[in-house]
Amino acid sequence: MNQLIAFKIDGKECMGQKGQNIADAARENGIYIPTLCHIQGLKPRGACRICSVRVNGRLMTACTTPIAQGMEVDSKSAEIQNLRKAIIELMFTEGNHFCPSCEQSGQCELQALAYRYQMLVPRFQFQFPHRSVEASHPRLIKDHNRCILCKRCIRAIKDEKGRSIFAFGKRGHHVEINIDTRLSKDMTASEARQASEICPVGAILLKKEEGFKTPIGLRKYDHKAIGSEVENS
Amino acid sequence: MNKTIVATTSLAGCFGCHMSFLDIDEKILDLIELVEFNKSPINDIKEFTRMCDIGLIEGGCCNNENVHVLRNFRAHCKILVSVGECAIMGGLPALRNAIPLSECMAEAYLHGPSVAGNNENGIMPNDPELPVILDKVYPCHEIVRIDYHLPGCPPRADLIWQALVALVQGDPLKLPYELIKFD
Amino acid sequence: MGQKLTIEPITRVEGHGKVTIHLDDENNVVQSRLHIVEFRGFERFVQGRPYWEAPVLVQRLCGICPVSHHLAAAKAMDAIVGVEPEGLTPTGEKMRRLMHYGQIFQSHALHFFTWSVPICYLASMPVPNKGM
Repeated sequence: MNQLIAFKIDGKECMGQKGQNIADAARENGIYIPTLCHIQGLKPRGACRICSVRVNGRLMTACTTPIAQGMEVDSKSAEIQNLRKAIIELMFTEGNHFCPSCEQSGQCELQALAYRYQMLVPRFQFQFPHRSVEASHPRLIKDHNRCILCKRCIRAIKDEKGRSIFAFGKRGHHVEINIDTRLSKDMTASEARQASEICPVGAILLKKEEGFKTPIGLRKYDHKAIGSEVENS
Repeated sequence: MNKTIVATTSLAGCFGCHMSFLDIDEKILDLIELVEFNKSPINDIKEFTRMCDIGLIEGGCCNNENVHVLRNFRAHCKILVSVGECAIMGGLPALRNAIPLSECMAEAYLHGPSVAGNNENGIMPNDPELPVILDKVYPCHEIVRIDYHLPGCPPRADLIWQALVALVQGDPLKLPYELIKFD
Repeated sequence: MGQKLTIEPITRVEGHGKVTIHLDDENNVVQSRLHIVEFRGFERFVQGRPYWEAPVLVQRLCGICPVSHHLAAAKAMDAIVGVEPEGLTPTGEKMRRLMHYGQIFQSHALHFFTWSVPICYLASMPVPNKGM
């Protein structure tokens, strides 16, 4: 099972386990491929496309593509960088991302990627959609304005029988995250915290007694770009 | 040497970006060596008296007066810079974009706790001198061409300073990671 | 109907104002009006947001006195969660006072050093007459 595979990312010789996806394998080789919907340990979904790379000349998502012997991955060409930046810009224009008043600002992965890719202004027109904030759950607030539909919460937060507590509701343009009220009625404080922490943006918020707890300057991405911990390891 | 001519304005903003600009503190003396201000709330020149090199725009467009001023800036400035989140994406005023304008007006003038009961005739501001409010708050680059964008709410003083110096001296804009923030 | 004088924009204040002075045929002032030309709708869109966002949201009402708005919102939040002024912790109360004094100090310094002084030395416009 533990078969080692040799492949190349941006010309650098890399090694990985058979069955591993490109995003995880790159990370272990000290190369950062940005991911939003994917985090290590969860089944990849390829929902956000931010990890797009060229594999042997074809555009693929690094989180859903397993590595193969002799594979050549391009993750840093100008084309790929621009593609990723465009995806970030699409997300910023598609939702309502008001960073100045968001308590996740400074710890938000979407914002951190925008910093990393130096998004100064999106090239697309802002949509300013009408979205709701829902606070009916006893422990959680959902702010659909900020949701990027990455499905992280759906895949990560399960009850003891393995059933997802979160699910998509509605269709097409109106898709939004729902919480199963029956399954989540006994949700503990730590489970709720886990749900809010798995969210890459500020769409799942804890009902709590403090907000904006981390001062500006001490937040996760204030000084170091997202991914720098991978590159410097 | 001829000084670079700079104009600034605040559209649907809060003047926070101008304040951040003034946070360059004692460098304001260097600034005066470097540039000369034309139309700007900082110096009280109300109309353009000449062509300017750089125009700094704070705030998005929430009424027709903002659009008029912005177009006037585009006509009189060789380089236009969107300073701050409001100019770049509408900023917090754009939170009203998902809400009908009539609801916002009604809350402010008819039903809000500080006005309810005091406006029996239901009067909304209607003086012909007042600008017409737009349906939405628009980012500046959706109205006119904008050459540079400096994000932040407000943009860090050093960011505005470094960008301005680079523009004045014709250097490429180097924007360090720590200065590019959206909040 | 006589002349109308317009002063626009009013500078060195936060916010966007204009003054119109209406004169009759003998150039006597009939009426002076201060117009508050900006409407942003904060009253409506702070509603429905998590309450702890409000102090940060309303800071953006005014970039010159953000702390005052922040503290006002903090007081409103106190009322919402049922904290009486006496119920504030001593540290909380002192912090708020300190911030408020800081705002006053900053505001005065700002007005003196960047609004008034430059107009006397670097002005492109004559220094206003005494008594104006």
